[in-house]
Amino acid sequence: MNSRRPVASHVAVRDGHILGAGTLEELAGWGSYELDERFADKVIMPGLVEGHAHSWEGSAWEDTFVGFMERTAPNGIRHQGCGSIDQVVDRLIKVEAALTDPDEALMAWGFDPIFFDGRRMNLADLDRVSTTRPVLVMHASGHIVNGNSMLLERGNITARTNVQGLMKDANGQPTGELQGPALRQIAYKAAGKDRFLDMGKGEALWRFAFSAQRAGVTTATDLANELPEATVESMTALTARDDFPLRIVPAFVGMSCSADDGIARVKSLIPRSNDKLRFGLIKLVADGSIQGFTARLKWPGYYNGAENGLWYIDPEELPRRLAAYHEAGLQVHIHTNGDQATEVTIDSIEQVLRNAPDADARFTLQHCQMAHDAHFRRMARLGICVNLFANHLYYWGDQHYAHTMGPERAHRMDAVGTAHKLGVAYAIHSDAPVTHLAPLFTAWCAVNRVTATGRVLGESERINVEDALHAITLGAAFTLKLDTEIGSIETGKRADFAILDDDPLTVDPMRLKDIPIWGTVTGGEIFPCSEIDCA
Amino acid sequence: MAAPVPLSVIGGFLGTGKTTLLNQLLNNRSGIRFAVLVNDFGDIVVDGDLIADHDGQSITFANGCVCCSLGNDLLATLTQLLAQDEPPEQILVEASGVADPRTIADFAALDSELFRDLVIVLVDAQTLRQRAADDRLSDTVTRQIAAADLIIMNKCDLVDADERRATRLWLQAQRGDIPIIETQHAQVPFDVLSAVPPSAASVAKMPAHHHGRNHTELFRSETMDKVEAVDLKILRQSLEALPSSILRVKGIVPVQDRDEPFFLVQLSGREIEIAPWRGTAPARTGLIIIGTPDMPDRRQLDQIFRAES
Repeated sequence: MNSRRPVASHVAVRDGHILGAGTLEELAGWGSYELDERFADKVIMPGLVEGHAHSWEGSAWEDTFVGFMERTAPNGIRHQGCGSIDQVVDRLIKVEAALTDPDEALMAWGFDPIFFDGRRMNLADLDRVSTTRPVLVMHASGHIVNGNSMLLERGNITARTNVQGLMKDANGQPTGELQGPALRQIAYKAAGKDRFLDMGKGEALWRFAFSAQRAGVTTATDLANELPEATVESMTALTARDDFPLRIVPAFVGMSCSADDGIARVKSLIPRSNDKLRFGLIKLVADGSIQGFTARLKWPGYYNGAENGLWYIDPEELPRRLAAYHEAGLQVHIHTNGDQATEVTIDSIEQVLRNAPDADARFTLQHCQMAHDAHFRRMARLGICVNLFANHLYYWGDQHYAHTMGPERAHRMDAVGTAHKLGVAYAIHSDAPVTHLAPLFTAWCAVNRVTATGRVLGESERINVEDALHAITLGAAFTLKLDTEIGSIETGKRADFAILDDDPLTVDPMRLKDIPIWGTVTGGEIFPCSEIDCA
Repeated sequence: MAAPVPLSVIGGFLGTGKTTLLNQLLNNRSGIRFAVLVNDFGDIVVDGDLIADHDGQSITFANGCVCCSLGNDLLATLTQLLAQDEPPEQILVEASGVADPRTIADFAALDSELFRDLVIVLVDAQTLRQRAADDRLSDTVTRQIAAADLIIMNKCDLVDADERRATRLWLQAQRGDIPIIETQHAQVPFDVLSAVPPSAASVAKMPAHHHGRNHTELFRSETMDKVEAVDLKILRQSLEALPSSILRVKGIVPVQDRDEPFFLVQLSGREIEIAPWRGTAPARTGLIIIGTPDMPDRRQLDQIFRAES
């Protein structure tokens, strides 16, 4: 990805950094060397950079996966997708049979009923799994859970419970579907679990790192994290180890406390950064998700007539928060899914930059799935970066076409081609574990723009393979202000590589996602996927 | 088990006066121990002699009140508060500017240790109708208003009489069924905000009667003391029979035929809570009934309570 030297036969590494790339003869000038030929028949790429993932990718796998699309766990086991509610239940029955502690809750994640037209999951379904231990199934949206009768009993949720998000049947009995933050938190408490605490545990970070390694990723964000002390301690301890394969860039949740407290917290964390851990990034969330119908849309709104989504931050407060962090010298990434959220965020950044000009602030819009050409033009002029959610095109493209956006706007979603043409600095991402962590798959999505059923969305928004590979390396590094350190193979950068079995520039672009990944090199340390040891 | 702790929600956009309102409560001298949960301490004002402790996560006031950071996990924060040796007598949660306050009230509805008290939504008389006409905000405004048990139309001193009337009419068209009160500086009578009967206050100090010079225009209240021992079933029927002009009922009453001699009675909006009184024998018994100026008068109230008994 060094534009002056896109292809080389050899790379020289010293002290965890790249001495240079070129011919053996050129590199011999650096002095004596040890020639390592184990990658002679492999393709060495810059270590891939995932600009939007979550350490939740690691903790999620403590629970049973029941998503619609097939998924590979960090331990390499491939889990088939669940194509129906019955398949979800069957999988949970098998898992339940293997549990030894009779009181332990059975937790599942990734359930995505948008693919199942019609029937909702109910108590009878999950009571088939168990009537004696709590069973909790979290939906892919993260906002809804289903429980069995025992979970509701432990949570003291009955027909008399009168809250909006408690779904009831025609007889007034709870169906087991629990919507909204209060019911969700009660459900977790009833199951005896703490989702946020789990994410910071060491085992979860190891699994996150292994999941990244399998995908050729050497740097990933954790976007975002409250960064409680226990999490910071496990992050600093693990990333200091030579055998930990991943660089982590955690972003601090910049809206759960006052901006002053947030600034103080992040500034106290920055000195605790190390070679594989970089504090300093702030994340704000403007709205919800499109497939959850919680994204904020401009007129005429959702194609199926669903009411407009939710602001997660007051549009009048957004510029104040942005200004506070920006003026404290901290970089901010902002989640904006719907076009109204994107527009309000661009307006806010414009206002912030007018008061405190900075041509290189690299505010980055995360997801930004519905941005219009006019938004990209303004982003280019204001120096705003974008990280587009290309995986959505495959995962939910058909649902966007049919339900959320309708045909015309579905074609302009995740408009990578427009970002490229208009000169916006861009990356593409997975939002793992929302979709699977695999930048080559993400690149495949941006290059082909094919949905799960094979429909092409927005042919004119396709980019070529070279540009897609740039987006998952230097492009993502740029959004993190790490492009001087990582993202390309050239003198002085960190010795981070993805080791592939095939050349992404010569395979059929429709096969980009299928290129086997041998492993990674992080800071000169070699990490073969075959040696991953994890439960 | 102790009587459930009332949890009230204060909603409304940035700049509508939520913090001003909460400041009044935190600095009150009634002896009632409030816990106020906020997103941002920044604008919390502490009268010099009232602060006892400030540790970054919470401010403890010498009057027994505490102001805590809402944090990411409201349930955990509430659980912590309730587990204290001296749990608060009432909890108020400040909803963020764009939150649907009902989602916070849901926590109270789901927890047997909590009683879902009023959802109070503040609106700014100056900007309400602009916000309601703004594509970005209109549905959020509507959702908040739909969630309210009481609407406080604040900053009325900053608009002229026509504007004020038009804004009130607009609000009444949305919610003709609940009290809408006009204030300046978010001056709401203490008795309206507090779900705790004065006689139940942990420190026997009665609130002065009372705040805000236009108190009489905003609310009426009736005190029914010297209550004879009541039948709880009949008392509940009387409370259910009250019209929607009644916003709050609170008090401690002597009861018939029960092991516990006194019961705590609270009505907030349409929620009713009747629980055994566990404290020391109350200094006095009776009910305080608070409503809009068109609420039933004393004679009518006597009838409602007598007719049912």
